[in-house]
Amino acid sequence: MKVMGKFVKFYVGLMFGIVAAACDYQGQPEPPNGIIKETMTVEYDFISGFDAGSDNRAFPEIRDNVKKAFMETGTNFLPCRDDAHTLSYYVAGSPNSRFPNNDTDLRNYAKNNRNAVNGTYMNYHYLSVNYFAPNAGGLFAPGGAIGGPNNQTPTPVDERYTFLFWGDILTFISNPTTIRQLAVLVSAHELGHQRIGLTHWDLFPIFHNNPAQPQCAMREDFNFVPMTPIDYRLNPVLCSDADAVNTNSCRDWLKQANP
Amino acid sequence: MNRMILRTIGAIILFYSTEQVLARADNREALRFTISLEKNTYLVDEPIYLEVLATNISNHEIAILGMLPNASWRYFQIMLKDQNDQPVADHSGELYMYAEPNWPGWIMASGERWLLVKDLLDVFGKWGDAAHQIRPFLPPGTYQVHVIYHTNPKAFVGPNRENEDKQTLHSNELQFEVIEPAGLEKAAHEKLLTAFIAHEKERSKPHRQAVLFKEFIDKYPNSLYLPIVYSFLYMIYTQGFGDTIERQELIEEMLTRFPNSGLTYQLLSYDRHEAIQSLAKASSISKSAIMQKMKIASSTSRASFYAQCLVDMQRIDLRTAERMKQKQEKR
Repeated sequence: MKVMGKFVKFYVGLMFGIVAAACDYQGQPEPPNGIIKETMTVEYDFISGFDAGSDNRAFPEIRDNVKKAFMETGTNFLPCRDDAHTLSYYVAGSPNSRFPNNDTDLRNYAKNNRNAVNGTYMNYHYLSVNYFAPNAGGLFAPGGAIGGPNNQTPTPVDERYTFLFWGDILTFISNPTTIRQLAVLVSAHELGHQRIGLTHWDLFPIFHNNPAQPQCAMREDFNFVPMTPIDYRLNPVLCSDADAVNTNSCRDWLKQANP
Repeated sequence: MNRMILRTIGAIILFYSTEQVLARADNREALRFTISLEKNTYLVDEPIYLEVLATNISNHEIAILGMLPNASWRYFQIMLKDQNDQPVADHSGELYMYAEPNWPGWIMASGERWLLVKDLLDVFGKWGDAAHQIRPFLPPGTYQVHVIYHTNPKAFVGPNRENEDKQTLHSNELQFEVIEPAGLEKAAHEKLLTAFIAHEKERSKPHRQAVLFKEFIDKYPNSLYLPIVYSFLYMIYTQGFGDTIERQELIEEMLTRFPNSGLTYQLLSYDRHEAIQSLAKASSISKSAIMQKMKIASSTSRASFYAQCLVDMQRIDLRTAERMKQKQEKR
């Protein structure tokens, strides 16, 4: 079992392609437009058995496609796992415990499980966990994130969080294709909130400013939008705009994000 | 044999007539929708528990959207205004909601209740100094709160949602005041802030985190801040120690000590979940049976009322899951 655990840890570490030392991004070439202030480094943690990022349990698209969505905005996205840290259940040691619908408790859990490397935190935090207590009866929340003021990075670095309720996604969705679509899109969507408090496209079009791109990862009703031939759920777009003059889209806000 | 055929026909008629009732129901007429607070004056950093209650007062089933705070779709919104009539920003996290297109909404029977109890500091609190990086706060002042609730699931789920009426309900509006603590409560408040800071410094050392909160309980046994102190201890025990005997004893103590606090809603809904599930499966159940199973002493307490509502909500959940299953089988 231990050997297996070590293998999983190694494998996931490998898949995320990063160790702490590699998070030093000094040597990377500057992205073309040069206005990006912050490399997006993400601490990835998971409850054992609910690892949304490993190939054997899920799909590499989650990692790769979320990364692609941020790269498209010009964000230097670098998903990191800073160590072999796995999360405890919500009630420590109790596999049947679920995550409560309470901001303070979720935030506290995320914070207690944040790991500094050489005294520094990754600037974003993504937690793949088991179950959310209120999920039931055909309606459920596959993810959640700390909110922030419109288009501003929320809260101090070590308090940011995005949860993916991976156990619930697997419970509620039986179709493997839909599981992938949902996990990719929810991850991009919630990291969008965490990264810079991105608002919902359909509620605040002023902050997205791209009527030609309604299939945005930041829309809140995407689960009801009919599928398109090119499956945008698996290839989420953070409202990238082709218009260089426009400075009021998700893409523009992301480029100006502060750490 | 004939009896079986008649029963089957009866069940089919009942199923379709229920569908018809759900299809034509206007939830604005069917629901009584109110909000309430425990009191109208609170000390800075004291939890402000808002109760939001929807009761089906019609004589038929309705399909509603349940009340989940912070949910996307914005079908349920708590609105807070300060003394200058300015909206206070919602700083809570967001939950992403997902439903299959054929989700009918939560099927609520006549007389059933959906209750949400939420600490307004969780939603509207501001981040501040070191202590208030641990728990957000509302500055002293006068505030007004009300809730907007869109109750028609078809306006949010399914292909024709744009053409549906959201069936918007507005709750009553309440006013409350937040004041600075004075006298002994001022000293208690200072101790509380110190405990918040220690909680942060001693992260990942739950034994040390718990020390100052326990000292607080010994030193200020009658403080208005006790519910939040206990709530932190509960969090430390849960995430730091796990489901130990000490944690269970703490839960019992909290239920005994604060039977009328909104704090108990969170406790009951989380730590009595198995009891709620088994109670909801019974066809009918008495109030005293609910109290006994949920280990609640006082029948007139808010905790007793919360327990009854939580059983109602679990019944709604079971019924909805059953209807979804029936629909799938029909296909």
